[in-house]
Amino acid sequence: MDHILLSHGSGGKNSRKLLKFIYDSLGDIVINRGEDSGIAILQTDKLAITTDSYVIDPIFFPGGDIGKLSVCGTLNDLAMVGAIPKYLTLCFIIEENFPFNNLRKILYSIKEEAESAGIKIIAGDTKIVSKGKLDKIFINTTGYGIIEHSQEINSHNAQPGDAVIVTGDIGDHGAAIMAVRNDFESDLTSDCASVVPLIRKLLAENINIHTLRDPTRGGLASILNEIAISSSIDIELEKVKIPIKDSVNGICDILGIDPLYMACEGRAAIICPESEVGDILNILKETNDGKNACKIGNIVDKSKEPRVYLKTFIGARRILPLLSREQTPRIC
Amino acid sequence: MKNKFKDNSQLIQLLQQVDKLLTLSPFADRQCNFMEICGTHTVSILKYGFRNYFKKRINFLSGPGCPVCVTSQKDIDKVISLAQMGVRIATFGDLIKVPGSKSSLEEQMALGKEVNVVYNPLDCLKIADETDEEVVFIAVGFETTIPVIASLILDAKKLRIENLSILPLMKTIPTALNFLLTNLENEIDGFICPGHVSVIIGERPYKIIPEKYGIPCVIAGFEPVDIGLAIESLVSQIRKHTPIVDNRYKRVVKEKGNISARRLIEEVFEKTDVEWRGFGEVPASGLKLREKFSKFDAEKKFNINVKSSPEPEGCICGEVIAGKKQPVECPLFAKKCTPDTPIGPCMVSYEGACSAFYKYGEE
Repeated sequence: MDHILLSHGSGGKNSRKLLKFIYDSLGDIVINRGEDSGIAILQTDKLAITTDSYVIDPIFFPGGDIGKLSVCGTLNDLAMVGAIPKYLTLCFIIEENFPFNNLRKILYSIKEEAESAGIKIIAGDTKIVSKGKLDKIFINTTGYGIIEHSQEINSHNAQPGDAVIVTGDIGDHGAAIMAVRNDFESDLTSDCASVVPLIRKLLAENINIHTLRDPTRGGLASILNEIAISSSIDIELEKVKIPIKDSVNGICDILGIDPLYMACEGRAAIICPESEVGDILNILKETNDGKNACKIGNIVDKSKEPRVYLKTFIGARRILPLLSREQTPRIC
Repeated sequence: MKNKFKDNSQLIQLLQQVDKLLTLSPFADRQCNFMEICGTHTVSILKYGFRNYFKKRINFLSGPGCPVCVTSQKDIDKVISLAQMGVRIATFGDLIKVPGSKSSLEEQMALGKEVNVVYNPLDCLKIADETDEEVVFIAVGFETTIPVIASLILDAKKLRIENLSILPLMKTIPTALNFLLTNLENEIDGFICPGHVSVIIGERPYKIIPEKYGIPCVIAGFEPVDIGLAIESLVSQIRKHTPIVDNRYKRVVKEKGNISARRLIEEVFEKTDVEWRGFGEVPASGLKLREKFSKFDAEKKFNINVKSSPEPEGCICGEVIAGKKQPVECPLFAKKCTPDTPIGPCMVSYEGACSAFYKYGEE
């Protein structure tokens, strides 16, 4: 049997076979197998929970696949409140006739990411739908993490005078996906990765952080606008300081898209007091995923009409707005 | 690879020089009005911050260079009427959201009407080949796009495709410019002439502007350095009182343009009077199919019955296109009219002035 059949979702023999296939592929990262509920053991009074569904097209892309994305994406959301991830739930909705080989590849990616993050799969589900009712495979993951630090890290906490730092190049994921979709030959790869190790390092060094966000759908411009609105502040970025690969700029030029609105899947924007910038950059630059980290701007002022401004390379200022009609079909 | 037209430190020096010139005579006590005809120039000028950089010294006015924006309300209604008749519409994506007087293509799609978005008019050959339905390509565009539309007609004829036609809404830039110049209300100190259109028509059609009206012209590309050079050219021409058509986009625009592309246009189309949003009817400023290709004319093939209808209440797209007003002067701008809920076409198209102001506007 090479392909998923509807009967794999029937609850009968084939369902058990599919479940065994998943357990075998994931190995010992799955706990509480076969029970109706997983039981988490946590010694904390502060728990972070986040959930996300992954519907990306294509499911395999340079630098990752939907499996890796479904783990990293959720872990990154936990990291954005400074949580240490502990457990993940894993739900698949699969289109009839989906190849087992592809499922295995996806499961191996999930295993690899979960192992390197030291987390366990605590619960899960599979559903099979008839051909044409969805596109190949959708994954939902819910992440649970514990918060050990005592900082207030949230979107409402950005303050005038703070610096804005990004942990690496902007727009790689979105550009890589667009390249594949448009049949462009390119060496672009997605930045899909967990930023948990970077953030844990910063917190371990007692760095004072005000806000963390990962620039996924909508890109850097969108999340900074959201932070500006939540914190009632104006942000000013310097275009020349934002790290963007020439190849990403190239593909964005061809497609008429602004890289600042392109999704990243392995980056974080850090908003912190200016006095922390030096230490943060020193710590990040020692890591492989953070070696291109840099400061790209500042929070300039409190504002009743919060805005993000971009200083262009000729030294003029323009608004970097929240886009309302960005077409980024199923990029994450 | 670094793009020297995008990322060039010499540009900043150039702009500083221009800025200095603008404090001297004859600019010292007034603002210059420069009109960029092409919508893509409007986008570049805003996106790279030129508008903000020269604030108070140069007033950039958008011109009639966005093909979707200049399409009249009546013509949009014709498109929607065709969709309602049940023919399969093939169109550039920008047109889908443009509101007609009662509906839009987007709404017709939601109601189940067939609308195919194409990037290249020639894609229509394949669409028509794969269906028995009538396929109508909505032929909007200027000289840049018209040669490809001409090729579509020639190929359809050669391949004997019977179920394909076009709704001819094409317009030509030089005629519109002449019309604009004879009806000017504002003083225009310089024109930034379109880059892509000029690839086809060359430098000659603009010559009348400096020669008859004494207004400097520059043909420009779309990268920051191109825009910087264009502004520098216009400012120097004004200073020296030597208005010419300065081609600063020589890497793609040749003096005579693209002769074979113009022959294609000539073979398939002939001049006709058309209605522009913002201008009304402009004599000989559009193109219709020559008699021998008339079976490809959707207007003749289908009984399109559409009455003239007024532009949406409060919308000033017409005045924006004619360079009379800025998008921010519109009472609907960014309030009732946004890219999500566009009321006029200038808020829909990527090249539309209102959409560019919404996206890249300064403080």
